Amino acid sequence: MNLEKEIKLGTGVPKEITKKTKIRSLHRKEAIAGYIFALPAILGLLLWTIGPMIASLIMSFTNWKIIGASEWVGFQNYVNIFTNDIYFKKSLWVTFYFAFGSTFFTLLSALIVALLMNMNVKGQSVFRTMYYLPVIVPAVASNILWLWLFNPDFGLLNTILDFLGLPTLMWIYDESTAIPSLILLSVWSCGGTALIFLAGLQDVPKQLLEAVDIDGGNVWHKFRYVTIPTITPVIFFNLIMGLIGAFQAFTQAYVMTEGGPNNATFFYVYLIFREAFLQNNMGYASALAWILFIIIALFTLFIFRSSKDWVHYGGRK
Amino acid sequence: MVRIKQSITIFSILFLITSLITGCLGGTDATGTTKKDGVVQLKFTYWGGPLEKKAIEGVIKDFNDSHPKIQVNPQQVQGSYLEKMNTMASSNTLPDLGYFSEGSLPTWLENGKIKDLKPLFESGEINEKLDYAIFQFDDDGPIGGASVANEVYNIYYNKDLFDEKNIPYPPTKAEDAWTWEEFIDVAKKLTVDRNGKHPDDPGFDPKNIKTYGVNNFSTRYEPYIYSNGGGIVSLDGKDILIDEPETIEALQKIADLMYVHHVMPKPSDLSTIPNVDTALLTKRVGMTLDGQWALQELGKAKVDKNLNLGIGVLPKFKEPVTSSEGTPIVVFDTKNSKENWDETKEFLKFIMDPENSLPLIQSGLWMPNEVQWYKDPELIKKWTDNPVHPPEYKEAVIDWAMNNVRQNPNYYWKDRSKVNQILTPALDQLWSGEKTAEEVVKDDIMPKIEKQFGDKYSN
Repeated sequence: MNLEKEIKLGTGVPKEITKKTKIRSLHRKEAIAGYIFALPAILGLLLWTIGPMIASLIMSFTNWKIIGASEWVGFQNYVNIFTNDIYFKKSLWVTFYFAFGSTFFTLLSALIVALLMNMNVKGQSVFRTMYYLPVIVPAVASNILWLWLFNPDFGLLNTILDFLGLPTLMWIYDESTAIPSLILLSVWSCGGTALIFLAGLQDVPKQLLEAVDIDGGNVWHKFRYVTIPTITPVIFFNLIMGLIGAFQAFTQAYVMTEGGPNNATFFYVYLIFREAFLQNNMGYASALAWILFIIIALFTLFIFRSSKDWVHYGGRK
Repeated sequence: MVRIKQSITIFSILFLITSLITGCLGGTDATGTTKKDGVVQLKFTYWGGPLEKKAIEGVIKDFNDSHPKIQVNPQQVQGSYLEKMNTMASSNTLPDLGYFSEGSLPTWLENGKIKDLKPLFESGEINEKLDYAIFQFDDDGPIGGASVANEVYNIYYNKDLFDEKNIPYPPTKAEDAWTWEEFIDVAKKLTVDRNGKHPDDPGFDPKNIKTYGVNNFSTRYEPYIYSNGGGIVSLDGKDILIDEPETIEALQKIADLMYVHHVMPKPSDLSTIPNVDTALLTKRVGMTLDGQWALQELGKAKVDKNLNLGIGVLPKFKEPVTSSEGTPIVVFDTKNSKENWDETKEFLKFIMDPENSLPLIQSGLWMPNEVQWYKDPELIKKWTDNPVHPPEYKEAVIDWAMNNVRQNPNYYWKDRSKVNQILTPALDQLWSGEKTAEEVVKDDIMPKIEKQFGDKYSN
């Protein structure tokens, strides 16, 4: 190795030093270098994630208003959230509705898209690019674009419905269709998830698929008994990432609906934001945030627990 | 090679540490308000579009030029103003003075982050402001500031459209204000669908309206509930008036503009309505209700694009009433503004004096915040004798603002922003046509207010 040579030449290490010591010092040097390279990430995690989390946990037991002094109020914020908050239940319901709806439909359509992208057709890479494209559009830009699509009078979506002779919709401007509309927007940007599915699909063992052919199975049998079990780890991964992301939905409410109409899109994170930055209740907002954290943690834990019943890893039953 | 490696390692560690330290400690020294060569530095934050930016920077330049010992540094904050202020407050980098959001003023004043200007306002050092433009949330309590400019609501319209249809212009005197029926009648004559039909004609197509008679009434509904004898909260801030029958009636009649009379765009149609100047120029909208600030854009369209602009007073239910708004300029309780209170006061007096913000007033964006500017003909001439302000401005806006303003709860009611958080989403259901005013108020708004405030307002 060059490095070894350099050490010898550069530092003039006496030749009688045993080979063992040299290797050990080399190991040490490599370890130090490794830590230094990892340092930015570790420091980032400590300072910008773990640190603020601890700070917000402490804050959640105070009535800190950013401005002015703060007092320790114990569990008062948590008690107020569950007993007095007139927005808590509504925003929690809205968030659950969106999180489960968008995760389910995003996963489903991502899987379908991935199956299509996996087919050996002409222009395969063009299709793959097309489906991935929405992912690279910044969230705010895509939200503004969709504001136009959702426009009840001149929006493309209603124009299409009208053309097909179907009744038009109010989309995000109606309480009952607002969340389904936002789910549609999430489905549109499922390209990232689809790409991960695609990687999973390409790992499906060809010999097993051929075995189904030989045994006289059809496409459905291949899909149901070979493809699906093989990609369960990918489904598992996408499910968890999707759910965590969806629980933290915010941009749509901030950019498109301001939580409306009639708080139909008043996402939980939007409530946190409003309490923290518009109402100056930073302590209260921290308590809200910790409740969300616990909810997400519980769901993640539940999915992990259930995974041993339905996720199959190669080489294991 | 090892040397180089080591030095790279050391350098990167040092770099990391220094950037962390500066990042963490930057707050204490980032105000930019230290004294340099005996010149006091003040930081002033504001929001607003490009025209306002130009004008504000002009006012500040005048001040800096005439006050060599004080240097005011303006900083425009584009969007999310309150979030920015909160962030600055938490890192001790608040400006010394600035615009502020009315809704959060009571909290900031109570927590001492905004200076109580009562002593200054009572000392006579600052010219007498309009009574209704002063932010004071308790009887005789601290004063957070006064509106830097006054703004009242009026009707703005394109005279050409009225001439075309041979309809008399909206009245300019409060005593001649249209009744609601007269107003709807005019609105119907102005409203035309793609086939040229009016709302009462057979075969009128409410889905394809070319010209809407009116716009913006649901976003600024408060003058009408006052006009009908209702309100949001009593003038002493002690009784909620939202559930009064007069309030409910007025709210319903505004919703009827959209769903019964088809003369106003529904919330879902609003994205098809261009900016107010274009809306009037292209005759997409006949009359629009707006704050006086709209005159800046409309006046520009009047001068540059020959918009035949007209201004009228609002239609009435019982009494002719308008309401007002205005952004307070506050003094933040920073170390710098305390140490240099005289200089801070000097600038506050300067920017609060209509004389010094004349360019903004003449451009149509602001109205003066002092009584004498509404009474003294010389002063009136000073701000309105220009191509932006149409001839009827004196009656329709100045006298109107002097005699017909009901004070906006923004100025005196601490629970304003909390109640708005209940009111706005609930009224969405009224404006979208799903529910009646009665249902929204009785089944949605009032129960929530009771839950949020307990028995504070139940009497």
